[in-house]
Amino acid sequence: MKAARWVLLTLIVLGAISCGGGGGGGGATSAQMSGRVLNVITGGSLNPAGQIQVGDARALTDLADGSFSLAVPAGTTSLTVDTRNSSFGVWVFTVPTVTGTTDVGDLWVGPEKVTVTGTVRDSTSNNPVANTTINFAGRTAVSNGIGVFALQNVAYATSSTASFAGITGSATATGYFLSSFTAGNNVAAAGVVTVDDILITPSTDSNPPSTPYNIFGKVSPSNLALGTTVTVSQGGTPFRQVAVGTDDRYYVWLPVGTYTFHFANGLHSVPDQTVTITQANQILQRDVTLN
Amino acid sequence: MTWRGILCGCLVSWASVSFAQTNVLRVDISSRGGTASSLTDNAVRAFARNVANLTRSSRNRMIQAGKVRTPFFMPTRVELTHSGATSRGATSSQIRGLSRAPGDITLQFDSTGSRAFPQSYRDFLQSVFDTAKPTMNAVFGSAALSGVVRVANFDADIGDRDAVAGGYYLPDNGSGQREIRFPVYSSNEAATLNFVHTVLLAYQGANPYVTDAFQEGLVRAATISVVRTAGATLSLDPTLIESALSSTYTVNGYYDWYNQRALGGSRFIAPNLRDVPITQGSYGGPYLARYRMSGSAWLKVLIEYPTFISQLNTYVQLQPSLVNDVPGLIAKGQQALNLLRASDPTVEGMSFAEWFKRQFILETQDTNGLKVMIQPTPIDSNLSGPDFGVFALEATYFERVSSGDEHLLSGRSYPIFWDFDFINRISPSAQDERMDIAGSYGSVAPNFPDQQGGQPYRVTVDLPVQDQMARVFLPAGAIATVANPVRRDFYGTVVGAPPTTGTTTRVILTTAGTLIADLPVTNGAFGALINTPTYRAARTVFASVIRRGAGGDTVLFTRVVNKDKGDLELDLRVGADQTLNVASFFPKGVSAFGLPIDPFASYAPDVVGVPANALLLARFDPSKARYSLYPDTEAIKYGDGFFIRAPVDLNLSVEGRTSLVPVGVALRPGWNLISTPINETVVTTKVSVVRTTGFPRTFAESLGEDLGSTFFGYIRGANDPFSGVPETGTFSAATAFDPGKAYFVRCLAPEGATLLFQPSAGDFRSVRSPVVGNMAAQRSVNLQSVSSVTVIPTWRAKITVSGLDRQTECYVGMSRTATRGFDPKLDSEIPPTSGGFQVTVVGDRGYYREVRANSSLENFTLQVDGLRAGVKYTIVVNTEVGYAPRINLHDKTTGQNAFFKRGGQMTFTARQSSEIFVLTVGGAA
Repeated sequence: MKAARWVLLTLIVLGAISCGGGGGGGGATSAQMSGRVLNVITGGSLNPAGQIQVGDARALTDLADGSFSLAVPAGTTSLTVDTRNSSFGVWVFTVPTVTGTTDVGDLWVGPEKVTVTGTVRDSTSNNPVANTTINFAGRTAVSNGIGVFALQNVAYATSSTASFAGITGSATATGYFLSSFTAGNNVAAAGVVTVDDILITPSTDSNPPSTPYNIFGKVSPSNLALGTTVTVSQGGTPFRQVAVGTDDRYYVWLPVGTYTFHFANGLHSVPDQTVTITQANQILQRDVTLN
Repeated sequence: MTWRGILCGCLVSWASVSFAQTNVLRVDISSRGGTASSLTDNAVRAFARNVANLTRSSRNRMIQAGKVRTPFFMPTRVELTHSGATSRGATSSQIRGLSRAPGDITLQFDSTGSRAFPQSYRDFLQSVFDTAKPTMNAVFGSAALSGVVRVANFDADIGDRDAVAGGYYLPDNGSGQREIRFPVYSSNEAATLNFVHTVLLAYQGANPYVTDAFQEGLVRAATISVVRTAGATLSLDPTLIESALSSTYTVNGYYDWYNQRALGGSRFIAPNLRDVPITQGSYGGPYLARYRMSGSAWLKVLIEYPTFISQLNTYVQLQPSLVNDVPGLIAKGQQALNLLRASDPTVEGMSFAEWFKRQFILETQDTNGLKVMIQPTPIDSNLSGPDFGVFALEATYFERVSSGDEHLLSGRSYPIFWDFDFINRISPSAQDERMDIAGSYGSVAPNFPDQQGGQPYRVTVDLPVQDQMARVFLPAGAIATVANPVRRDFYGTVVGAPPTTGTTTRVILTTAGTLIADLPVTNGAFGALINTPTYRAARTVFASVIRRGAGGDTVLFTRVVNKDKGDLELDLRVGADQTLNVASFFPKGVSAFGLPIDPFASYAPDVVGVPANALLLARFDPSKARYSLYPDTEAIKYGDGFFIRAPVDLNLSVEGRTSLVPVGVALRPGWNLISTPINETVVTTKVSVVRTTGFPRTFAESLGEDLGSTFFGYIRGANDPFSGVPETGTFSAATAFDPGKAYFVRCLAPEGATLLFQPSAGDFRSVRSPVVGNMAAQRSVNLQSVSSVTVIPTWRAKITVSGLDRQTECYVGMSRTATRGFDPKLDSEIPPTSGGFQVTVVGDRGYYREVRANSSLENFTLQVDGLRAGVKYTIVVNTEVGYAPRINLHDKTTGQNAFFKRGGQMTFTARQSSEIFVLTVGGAA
């Protein structure tokens, strides 16, 4: 595909040079659209080759890597992929407006179509982020006011999710770093794949990473939180003490075990909390309200 | 005959080939018979190894050369047809085998039913076993368990990967039977070696090795040994046997290139991939590389100790629990060497344990996270035009998760090709600057042009994907060029042995005291055609890097290599293997660290010396904006940064490879926790930044554009009152990367970037070298000559807060060019510390350094976190740049004020964990 792009680009440049200032005449301005069609079962190309169609223009996908290139009218915003596979059928994709030479990316097809849904959140505040553009498997959606998005007609194969799990999607929003995500181990239930929350980080970031922790929580009410000390004991012996910060939260990183958490701020306290960590990669949240 | 010759000879001209469906190849042998089918099958498999997996861009070279005219295809099932009809049949039942001596197995074939093979195929497989058995027993030892082993035809439903692997064995097929599941191979050679492989798996009986590195690896090496033994198998074409072995059993001479960390793990085929079809244009994950590398690794031992596996298996039969005891197996491995060659019980010149840990394929511990590996293959024929060093570079990119599954990732990489100097980024062609990856597979096929007057040179390939990096060294111009198209059969690269004045660097190859080759190393690369029977055999050779001058030869480094048949590629790193010992490297409590040495071990508990059930290890994942906590963390590599909570003071003692050349560290957008991969302090003028296909830039140039303006180190905080050690800490701006420490570096480039850390001295030139030849698009930067673009503020003061033997600082300032908002060239955020001792300038965000526009009056709000109530602290304000007529520091908790001009201090006793101060500056000078 890359070679094809290069050749095509070269041809376009040469063509432009040779055309000079002449020409004119009617007809839609031509553009070049390229991309790949990939099989969600295998992660590779279609065999037999798929057929790309835009209007009357047609091209076959490359048997080796699934790439295609097609001259289309400028302004094209959709294409049809005839997989020529009875179980996959015909797929229609909405693509970015094609102008000049446009790479529309990877378009995934397969035996099933699912909805991929999830929530986009700000990594610094955990608040949902609206108007985030999600691209995944050739489908695009925009998160709504509560950060939720739903990508329709995403290729899927219940029989084999290894490639689906590895499809790398992107989340882009104004003022945030581009973030990538995969479906990971999330599989379809009733035709819907719910991916883990996508955390995106402000590009003018006010809250870069903290130090690691595996138990955290919010202390309420806010006017009592700051200054609260959290004493962690095991077997009746205190061995860690942390202070609640200005974000009203406490964070502590503990090995596997069972612990007692004691919260106190002057005369204010809350019944001790027992927390058990069974795996070191487990992250637990324990919010408390001081009385 | 080369693979291309085979391919063109039989695929296109001799046999009628059809592709009935994905992964099924039907070959009509009406006119040619078995020879054609045999050739076809092997050609296709060799084809799969060499070309079929390259993407179109990579193959265009060959297509244009007219050498490839068929669709690329990776069959995992081959059906013979005769005039369009398949040649299967079914006859009477048969149970045949050799005598029932102890340790013998008897093969049982179904004669009817869906699991029956055609009669001719059954006969063939039985005869393979009958003929090979004595050699199998000699190489592998007799079967651990005698009895009947059913051989079932699983051609129709065997998984693609298992078919490529050569069938598989079940100690219990669910009906209490031992069973070999085997496909139909049209080639006698492929069927023979794969059947030997599968029967050897059955030799392990009911107690197979638990990890594939042993179970599959030992069997594959033994299979190679058996089928190469004269008379051990039926009369077969040795060329085709070698071709088939190269496809799925050995990497031949490319072992050094492929010896990469991503190979490791307990299972070669992840559970979720076992039944996933393999598509053309992809390897379908790392499994095939693992199979081939495991065969090659153990073959290295067999070359010195032909009965090693037999001896090891004997130990295991005497002590069955060893199958799940890798340290025990390593000890037995050494015991076997002691027994078999008491005078020098080493492998490749090392103890068994030392050798074992250097083979990434034999890392049996599982590590999670993203993994990327890169496999180069030299392209040596049909060269034309500027072709000087042409390589196919195939990447495998995947993620292992805690369940053991491996996700075949998609993504994009911008490969970086460094010339010998690590100053010029070679741009062979636009199509090779970007690698699209899908289903875990991507490839490019760059040509590295002649830039050293026809002399070979070392190219360093860095392949960054997300925050992962794979690297190989390639000898451009040392294998085959247009001017000298005859492929050399001994080639490679040298790192760490630059010539000194009046000397030359050379590589000397000997075997058993006999000189094989004495050739120059030019710009870190070498290559020669030896082509003698002695050299081309599988054997032990000694590769020495020497420095030759008027005073004679000085041996810098010698490596013992057990080479496979044919070519040999070597990645020689002089003085790289080292042990790093640092007392109290991990002090009790929380600390941040990175390793300036690339450890041989991948398993974090082994590297840091903490049992897995007590290990608290974390690495920040900017793509998820959260930490990965062990065991989700990736393998510890140099260049990575980690937080650890050590239960006690721990010493570091890690064996690995240091680098004498610059090393790349890949960054994702956002905050990256990294370390210097060089075992020395690296100042930022020795760090260059590469973004996508762009020019390398200096660190200073990149600030505010590719990188955040400040990077932070971690300083351990005051002791926790109960644990008695620091459990929190402070982030502090850094000016250099100290070895052993971790730093937060913020990448602003949406596609990520790569930092290249340059050692103060090493095997590269520090100034730009003259460019010779027709390099298409030379990109260069002289790290020494680009001036800093740091913006100097009009006024700047440093605020330091200290107490409990700890201190933290931040900066405030004013500048004509500053804006009130965040300016990445002037301002810098502070990473929060989760309770650590930290002073922060509070504004629209938390600042480590906030520079505002010049004004007559400016208030900076300072927040000090991590205070301990009742403890006395001191705030010091010190003007470093410019002059401010009046400064007032106000404690909002107590109402206390302090007035001064250039600087001064205030002492306060903390009442709570966080307190606010206001610094009022009465205008800039």
